[in-house]
Amino acid sequence: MKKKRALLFLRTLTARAYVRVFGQMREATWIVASILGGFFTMATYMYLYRSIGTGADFTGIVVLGGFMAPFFANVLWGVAMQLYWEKEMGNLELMLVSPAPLSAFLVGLSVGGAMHTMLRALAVLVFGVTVFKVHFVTVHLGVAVLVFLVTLWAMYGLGIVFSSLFLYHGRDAWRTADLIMEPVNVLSGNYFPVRYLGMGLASVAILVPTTLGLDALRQLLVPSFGPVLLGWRVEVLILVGLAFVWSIVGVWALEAVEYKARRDARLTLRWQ
Amino acid sequence: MRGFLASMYVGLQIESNWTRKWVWVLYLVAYPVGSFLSVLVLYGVFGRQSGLLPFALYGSVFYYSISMVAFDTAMSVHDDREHYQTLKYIFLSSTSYGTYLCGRAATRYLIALAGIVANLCWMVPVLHLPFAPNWAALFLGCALGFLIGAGLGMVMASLFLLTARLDTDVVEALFGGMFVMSGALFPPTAFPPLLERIAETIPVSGFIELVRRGISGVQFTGFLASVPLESLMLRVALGAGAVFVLGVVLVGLGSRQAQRKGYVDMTTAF
Repeated sequence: MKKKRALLFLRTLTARAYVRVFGQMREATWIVASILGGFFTMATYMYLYRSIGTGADFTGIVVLGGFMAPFFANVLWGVAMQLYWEKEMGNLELMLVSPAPLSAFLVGLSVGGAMHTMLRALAVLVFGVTVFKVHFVTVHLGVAVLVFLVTLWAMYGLGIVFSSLFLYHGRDAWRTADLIMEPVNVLSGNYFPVRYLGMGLASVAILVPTTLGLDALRQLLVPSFGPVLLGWRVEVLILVGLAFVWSIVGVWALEAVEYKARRDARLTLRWQ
Repeated sequence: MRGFLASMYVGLQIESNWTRKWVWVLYLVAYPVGSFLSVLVLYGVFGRQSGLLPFALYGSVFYYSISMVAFDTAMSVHDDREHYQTLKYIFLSSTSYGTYLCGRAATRYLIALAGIVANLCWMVPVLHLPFAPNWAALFLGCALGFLIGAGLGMVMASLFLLTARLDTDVVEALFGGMFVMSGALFPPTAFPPLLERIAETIPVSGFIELVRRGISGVQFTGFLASVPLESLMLRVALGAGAVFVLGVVLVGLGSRQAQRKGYVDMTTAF
């Protein structure tokens, strides 16, 4: 029985990931526009730093921020908001009456989302490195890739927590996502060393895994990077902890909110 | 006019009726913060010596006002057609679709301006921003900003009317590019000469410089410094008028084509 359930989970995960990866490839405009959007944001901060005279010190930092930014956008709009979109489109009730577990849908979305976002983020990285002539130190590349993967795990775990919250809500969920997007980007230090926010704000910001992930990646790949928040080894340990915590809380919250939403008859409530 | 006012009312309901009124007012005030939070951190920490904090703050909040209008006006096509499935009824009504979009844009612009004013009320005294308004220039600038935002929104809306899957990414890329070029966050004098020339010609950069001078009474950088205020007003007015007319014409053409091709009630689960 357990084997059957595990198989069902895996099949659901693969199916949802497949749709996410290949569905996003259907339109060339989506791919080109998202790469250009990421590049323009990066260019804005590059020129901003140049205009205030700190351009050279921050190029690598900005390019890495530009690389990570699409992942948070994907977590928020592609995972956290997904159940809300499914509800609005009328798919959610079909998903719920199927035997497939809802958590498998979300893990599939996360895996698929991370894969297709990776292509776009890599393109932004290549553009950034080429146009702005950034040099990264690749001695610790293997460790950096591991740090990046742990960061993704924690980020998408957080996405599942958010998705359970947004499942219950209507348009206010969409508004909330819109509201928190930019402040979270700033708090996570996407385009500057997060240590400049001060330890008080930074200690709140570490709840968003991008904060520690970016700080650790910058320590590993940009030799002149500073001031650091914590040593990268400590940051990786905290990230692993966050990944476990957000994943467990996410699955628990999803079950709890799904039950509450069923009870309050909000699963088929559209346009609210 | 009745159609325009009714569209404004519909816009207000869509913007506000997802929550209680007091929560919405808080949201209205909190929302623009995202547009200038990075400015506060970046110029507050790294750019203090440059003295460009007021330049970037005014620039980013006013850029936010027109980008919001254009983005929401354009996306209202998808919302009305796919999400609420009401686009066909709007087309059946006696109000032209262009008028409807202008009404929606007007509401969005007023909401954005209200959020900006609420934030300026604390930013000006707390951050000691220069504040010596030339009210004529400021009001004219704001009116022209509406024409630019609504015009750009209608240009995008005309594309959306004829396509099913043009994504928000397309609009975001357009506005991302315009944000770089507009001189909202940094003076375009940081660009290579060719890009600086392009930045000088786009209406958005002129609008931002106009309202910046209109509200602060200060010319912060060398960007458009050789253009006196009156000439700047005229230049922005011409640019804004052109963008708005282009938007109206394209929406008219797009509406007719969309009706002819049967795209008005198309649903693709997009």
